[in-house]
Amino acid sequence: MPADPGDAEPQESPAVAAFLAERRADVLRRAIETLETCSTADLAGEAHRLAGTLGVFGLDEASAAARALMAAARSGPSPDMSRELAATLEVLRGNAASLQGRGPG
Amino acid sequence: MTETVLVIDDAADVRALLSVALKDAGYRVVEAANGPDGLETYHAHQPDLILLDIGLGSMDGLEVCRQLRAVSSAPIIFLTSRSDEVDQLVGFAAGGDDYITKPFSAKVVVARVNSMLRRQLRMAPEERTRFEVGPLALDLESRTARLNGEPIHLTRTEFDLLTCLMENPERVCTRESLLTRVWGEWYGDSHVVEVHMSRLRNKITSAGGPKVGAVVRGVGWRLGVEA
Repeated sequence: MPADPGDAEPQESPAVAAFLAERRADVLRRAIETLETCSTADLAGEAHRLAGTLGVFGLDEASAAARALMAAARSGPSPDMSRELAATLEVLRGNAASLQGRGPG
Repeated sequence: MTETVLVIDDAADVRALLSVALKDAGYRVVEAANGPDGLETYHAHQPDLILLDIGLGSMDGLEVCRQLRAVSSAPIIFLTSRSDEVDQLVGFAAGGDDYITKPFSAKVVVARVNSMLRRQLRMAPEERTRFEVGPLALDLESRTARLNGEPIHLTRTEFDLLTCLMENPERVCTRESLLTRVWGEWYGDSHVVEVHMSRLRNKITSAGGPKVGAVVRGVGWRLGVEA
């Protein structure tokens, strides 16, 4: 069974762990908004930035999806890019739903 | 005195996370979202260390680093999603001291900041604060290096490497000893020593000085300058 997104940060300080837990849902929401609204020309750059941010927030699967999208978007619009965009959004929405289901804390 | 860390990153969430982690560790934190603001914030606050994202917008982190290096020897740690060795070398060539690849753990970033800022304490032998070998002179208290009496601008890493070599010019410094003394906890490619040694050597020779950092094959480096 896959781990829930952002499962515990055992090594982080309590203050950082609390911040990560509090912000993670917002990070996912903004990532979804960004990918839904950004232009094709900006997609590779935004995916690059998101891959870093999502990973830093412990959202490993979402970060990997964004990295795959970045690679596909670098060579411009293509069926592969559209596929990766849809796949990344699916992962992000799945992570967001999982966090919402878990509730605060 | 509380040390100040400047975080330059275009990702607001990453800046906020680093700010929480560094403040939690006792640092004062100032932030900037792009290169020009980063340079302005540097001049306004004179931070002790800079965390710098390479992938900034119009003025990328490498250019920001070059401009900072013209006025500052504060340690610069690059934050980047790029893990290629080539990118690391480019980062070091621009004057960076260390390199952390995203995704990172905030705890690791704080540990690297601690290590970098404590380095100066490790580097300063209590009994000696000045070294002179041939045309080269170092003053550890003022952190100044001179060649034939003229100041030469070295990054913090270059200065610390030269200190290790000049403390005992005949001694061979191994890669491991240099990594421990200059970088403290180093998680990256150990060839970082060669990169910085080469930059140090080029900086001194291009100023008309001797070729420092003689390679002792299979062992390490010694100063390589006649007293």
